[in-house]
Amino acid sequence: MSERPTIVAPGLAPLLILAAALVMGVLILLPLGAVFFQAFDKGLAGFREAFDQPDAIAAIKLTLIVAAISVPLNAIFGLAAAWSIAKFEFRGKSVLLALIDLPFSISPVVSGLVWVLLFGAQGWFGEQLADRNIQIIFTTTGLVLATVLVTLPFVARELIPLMQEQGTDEEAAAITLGAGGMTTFFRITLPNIKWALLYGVLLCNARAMGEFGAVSVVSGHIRGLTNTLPLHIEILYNEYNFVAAFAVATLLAALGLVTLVLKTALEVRYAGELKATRKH
Amino acid sequence: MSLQIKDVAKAFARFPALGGVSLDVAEGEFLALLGPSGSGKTTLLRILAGLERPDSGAVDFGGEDFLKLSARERRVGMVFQHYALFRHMTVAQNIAFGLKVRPRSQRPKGSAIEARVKDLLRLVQLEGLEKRYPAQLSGGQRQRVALARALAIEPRVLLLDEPFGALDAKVRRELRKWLRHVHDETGVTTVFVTHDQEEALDLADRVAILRDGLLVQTGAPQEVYDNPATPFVFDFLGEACKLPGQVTGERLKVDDWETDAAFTMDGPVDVFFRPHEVALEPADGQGISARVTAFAARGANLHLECEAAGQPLDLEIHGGEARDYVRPGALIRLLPRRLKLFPAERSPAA
Repeated sequence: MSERPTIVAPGLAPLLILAAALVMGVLILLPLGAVFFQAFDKGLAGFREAFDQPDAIAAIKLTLIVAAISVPLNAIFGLAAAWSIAKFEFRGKSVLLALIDLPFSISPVVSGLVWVLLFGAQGWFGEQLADRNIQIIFTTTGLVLATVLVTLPFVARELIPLMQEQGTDEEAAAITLGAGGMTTFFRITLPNIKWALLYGVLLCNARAMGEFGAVSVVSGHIRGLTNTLPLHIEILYNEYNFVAAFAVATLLAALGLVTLVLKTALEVRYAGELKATRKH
Repeated sequence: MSLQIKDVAKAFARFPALGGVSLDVAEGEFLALLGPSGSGKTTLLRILAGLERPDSGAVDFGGEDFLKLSARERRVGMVFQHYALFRHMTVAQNIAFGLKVRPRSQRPKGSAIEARVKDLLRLVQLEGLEKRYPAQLSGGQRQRVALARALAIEPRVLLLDEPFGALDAKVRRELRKWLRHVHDETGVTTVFVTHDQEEALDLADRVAILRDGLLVQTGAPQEVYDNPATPFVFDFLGEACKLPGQVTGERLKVDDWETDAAFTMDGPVDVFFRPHEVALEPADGQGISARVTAFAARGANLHLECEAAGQPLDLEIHGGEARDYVRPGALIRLLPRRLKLFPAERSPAA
């Protein structure tokens, strides 16, 4: 084969770049701009009014609580799963890998529905739970369960390729040097993956706060009680309260932007450690 | 204290890695475990380190049952092919690691650790690089840090797994000399895994050759080189020429050439010799008849390709032995200075 660069027509490249920029502009920047534009449609006062509502404040609090519980849970699960998959040989490894990916491939609505099916009033365990006065669906617990299921793969997926690439030599070296299991984990394994872990947690957090489908199913939409930010926005929107809906939406958009900036900063700073293949 | 390996066997899920290996390593000895990939040498080393558990057999170190000790209790220094340096620690932190993770009661004082790190940096000739990170070092420097790190815990045995395998040839030769020097200075019992026969022969006090999970031969480098126990060892330890022959009544016949042979079993044999241990003779002289097919000067040596007894041979002839009758197409005779005979591996019908 010839070694010439594979440029078909010299004038094509700028055209392609322009086309890409146009698509990006229409599909991403324009809607994002519209969110902020709509949010300030009635000026700063209208924007601030959206956050003066007790329901809005409750939604923000609830979103933070759900994320504060789900993200650490998934960070711990992801770390444990990645650690066992990358550093040990065992039967059923590929099954575990496939299971970790499952939440990515099933619809979030299903991820919500399964909990209703299990713990709802008509669900498998509905009666037993009702007898003991335990409610899961339409409570924060249900929201957390749904969120955990949807965001389960983020941390694990981030860590597995990196840890597989790093292998077990460093841990083996630490052990022969006299380090115990805990010392090896906290002084060798964890420092080697800390940036990828942070990166995975960031992505997980963004999704946990922004999740709509699964949460919508288990929430019950009780105002001020089980409404997270995305659900609150939907309610406002359905009530034709566009300014308030978009004002609250700026919060989620800002969260997305902050995540993006942090993620990019991490990628630039720790390119080597994060270069492991991405799957999402 | 000597290390005694008795009948150690290990099988992985699909294939046997070691099929019962027994081997003694004397105190202060430098032993090379030599074999092609898949021969089980690394598995044996990892068993000694405590990183793998054998299915059966025993490992005894100075009367102590090594298999009852975990990897962290054995106090062996392990050096890995890909260095396995802690990438987020400096050179000094890497070397100090084994001392810093000791239980508080056995841990040396901070100043003592610092002094030890300094000594080791001097030993591995890396003074001034203590604040560097592994990524800022060359491969050779990394491996020297890895060795210093392993030596820091004053290991009872030093285990090296293809330590120079990832380095280029020149650095490898330098480090080889230097490793021998470090061994002689510290006197630590050393087991060294390699697939490079030159490295093993050059470096070790004794060589143990493994094939398919079994020990084929052990001995001093010169001893195994001169008296290989099997055709495999002969072939593995250096370039080999092989010709079919026939032994009858302590006389060897190769093609039309006959000579005395100290070989008592009559029958077809494989005749082995080294490509550089051959004298050239004219067509009416002594030796195996051969036709020259190609002929080229290679530095100080001559590379000679010829055909003898229907087999192509590649020979390395010292420049001073070139004769004017050696031309492409010419008939000459080859007189091996040293022969090694093994019962023929080919079927009698062939």
